[in-house]
Amino acid sequence: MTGDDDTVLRVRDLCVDIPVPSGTLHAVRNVDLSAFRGRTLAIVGESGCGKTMTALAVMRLLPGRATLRAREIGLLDTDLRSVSDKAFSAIRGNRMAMIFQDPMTSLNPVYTIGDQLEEIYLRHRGSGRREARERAEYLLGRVGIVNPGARLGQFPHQLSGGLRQRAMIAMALMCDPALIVADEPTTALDVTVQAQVLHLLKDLQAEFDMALILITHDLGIVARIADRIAVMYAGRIVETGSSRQIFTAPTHPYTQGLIDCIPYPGKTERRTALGSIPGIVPSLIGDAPGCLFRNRCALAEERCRDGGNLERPVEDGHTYRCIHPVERLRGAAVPS
Amino acid sequence: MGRFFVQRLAVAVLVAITVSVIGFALLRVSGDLAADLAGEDASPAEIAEIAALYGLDRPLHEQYLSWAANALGGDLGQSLFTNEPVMDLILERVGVTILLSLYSLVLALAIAIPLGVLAAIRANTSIDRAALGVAVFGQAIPNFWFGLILIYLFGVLLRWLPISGSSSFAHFILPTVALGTAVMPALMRLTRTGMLEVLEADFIRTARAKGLRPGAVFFKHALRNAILPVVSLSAVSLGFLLGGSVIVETVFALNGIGLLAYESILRSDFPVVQSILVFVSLAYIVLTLASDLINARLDPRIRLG
Repeated sequence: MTGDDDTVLRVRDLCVDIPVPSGTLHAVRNVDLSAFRGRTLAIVGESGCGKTMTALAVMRLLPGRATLRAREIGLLDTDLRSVSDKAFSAIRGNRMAMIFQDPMTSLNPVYTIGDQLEEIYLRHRGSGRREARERAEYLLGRVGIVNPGARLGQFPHQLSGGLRQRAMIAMALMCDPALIVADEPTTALDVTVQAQVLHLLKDLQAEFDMALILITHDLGIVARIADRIAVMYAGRIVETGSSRQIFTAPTHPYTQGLIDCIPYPGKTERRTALGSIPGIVPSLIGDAPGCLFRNRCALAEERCRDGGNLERPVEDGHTYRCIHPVERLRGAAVPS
Repeated sequence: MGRFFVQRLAVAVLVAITVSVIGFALLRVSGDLAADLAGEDASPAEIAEIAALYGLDRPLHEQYLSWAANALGGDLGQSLFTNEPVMDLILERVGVTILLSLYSLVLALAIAIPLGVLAAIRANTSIDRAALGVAVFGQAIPNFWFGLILIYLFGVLLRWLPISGSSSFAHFILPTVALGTAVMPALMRLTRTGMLEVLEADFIRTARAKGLRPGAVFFKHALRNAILPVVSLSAVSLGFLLGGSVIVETVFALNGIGLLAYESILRSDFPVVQSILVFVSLAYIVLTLASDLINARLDPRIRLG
C-alpha cells in the first residue's frame, strides 16, 4: 500500500455541473481519487462519462459555464481550491501538466515546436532562452525524436501525429511536473504508434518519478500500464481498485461488461460476437437518484431505482457502487 | 515560397490586364466621349472631327492596344483640360491620397484590433454589444455625411481643426477620421469572429494548460492565428481607401487623386479618368499580392506547404 507521503493529488467529493437549457447537467458526481508518485491511475469509461471533465476540473480548465464543487483538491501540500486564478496559472504546466487527445490540433500551427516547448520553461522558470532550448532539445531526444535540434525549428504540420504527440509529452515534461494528466493520449494515433507512446509514458514516469493519470475509454490499453483503475460511468466512479483486482475480480456489472468488450487476439474465439453493453448512457441532466447503470444492467431490479449508490468494499483497496452483494454479482451472467 | 510567389504574380498580371480592358471599355460604353467633349451645341461634323482628333473613331481594340502600349511605356496621354501629361498630374497628387489612405488604415486598425479582441474575450457582454454598436454606426453612416458633421463640429463650432486643404498634418485629421470610421467596422468584426473561432481551438486550451498568462494566450497564441484574414482585408481596405477617397477628398478639398478624378469626371477629361481608374485597380492588385505574401510570412502552413 502506498503511503500518504507519496500522495501527489488527492480529490474528494468532486462535482462538476454545467447549466443547460433544460436544467443542470451533472457531468461529474462525487468523485474521489488519489494519484501517487511513480504510480499510474487510469480513469476508464465511455465518452461522456465525465472522465475528461474530471481532469479539466483538476487543472481548472473547465469551460466557462461549468461550476465545480469539491471537499478537497490537494496537489502535494497545496489546497488548489483556495488558489487564485493567477496563482493557479503558475502551478499549471509547472507542477502538473496535461497531455491532450489530438496532437494534430493541440499545437499552435504558427509557432515552431521549439518555441512552444521553450515557452513553458521560460514562463515558469524565468531562465534564459539558451537553457530552455537545451532542455527542449534534451527532452525531444528523450521522448524518442531523432535529430531533436532540427525538429525544434520545425512547425507542427511538418511532423507526423506520433511525433507531435511525443513533442506534446516533451512539452509536459519541460518543468519536471509532479503530476501528468494524459487525456486519451493515444486515441488519435495509429495503432502501431499507440503502444510505443504508452510505453514511453510508462518509462518517463519511472525516470521522472511522476504521478500519471491516464484517461481512456479503452480498458485494454490500461491493463499493462496502470497501477490503479477507476471505472467511471455517468459521472460517477462505479468501481475502483488495483489493476489486478479490476481484471481478476471485476465486481460492478459495468466493469464486467467493459472487460467483456476487450478482444484478446488468440483467445477470443473466431466468429463469436464480441461483447457489448446494450443500451445507451442515460441523460446526466437533473437529479438522478439510484443507480444510473440500471437501464443497461441484467441484474436491475426495483430497488436499484432509488438509493443504493453507496460505495462498498470488495476487499482492501477495492470498492464498488452497487446494491447487490459481491457474491450475487460474481455468479451473475454479464449482460450481453 | 518561390513557386507560391510566381503563381500569385502570374495571377496578378492576368487580373491587371483584364481590369485594364474592362476599365477601358466601361468608359467607352458610358456615352459618346466625342459628343461630350464637343459640347451640347456641336454639329455632327464637329463631333466627327473631335472623334478623329482623339482617335475615338478607330475600332475599340485598336484604341485599347495603342493606349496600353503607351501606358506600358509610361505615357498615359495628356489631360484634355490642362494639356499636362496625365502621369505628371497623378504623380503630383497621389502622395496626398496615399498618405490619407495610410493614416485612415492605421487609425482603423488601431481601433479595430483591440476592440475586436476585447469583444471576443468578453463575448456577449455589454462590452461586446458596445463594440457592435460602434461597428454598426461606422458601417451605417455615409462617410461624406460623417465628414460634414466633423467639419461642422470640429471646424466650425469648436474651431479646433482646419476643414480644407492638405498643407499640414492637422489637415488630415478630420478626413482620416471620416475614412477610418468607414473601414474600421469590417476589420473589427473580422478580428472578433477570428478570435472567437481561435479561442475555441485545442491549442488555446494547450496554451492555458501550460499556465501561460492571459496576455500570452490571447495575443501570442490566439491573435496571431486570428489576424490572418484581417491582414488580407487590410490590404483590400487600403485599395478601397485609395479609390474610395474621392468623396472624402472632395468634401475636405484635399488635393489628392480622388479630387482629381472628381474634377476630371465633371470636365469629361477621359484620359485622366481612365488612368486613375487603372491606377487604383493596379494598386488593388499589388496590395492583394502583398497581402498574400504577408499571410505566407505569418502562416508557415502556406509558406512551407
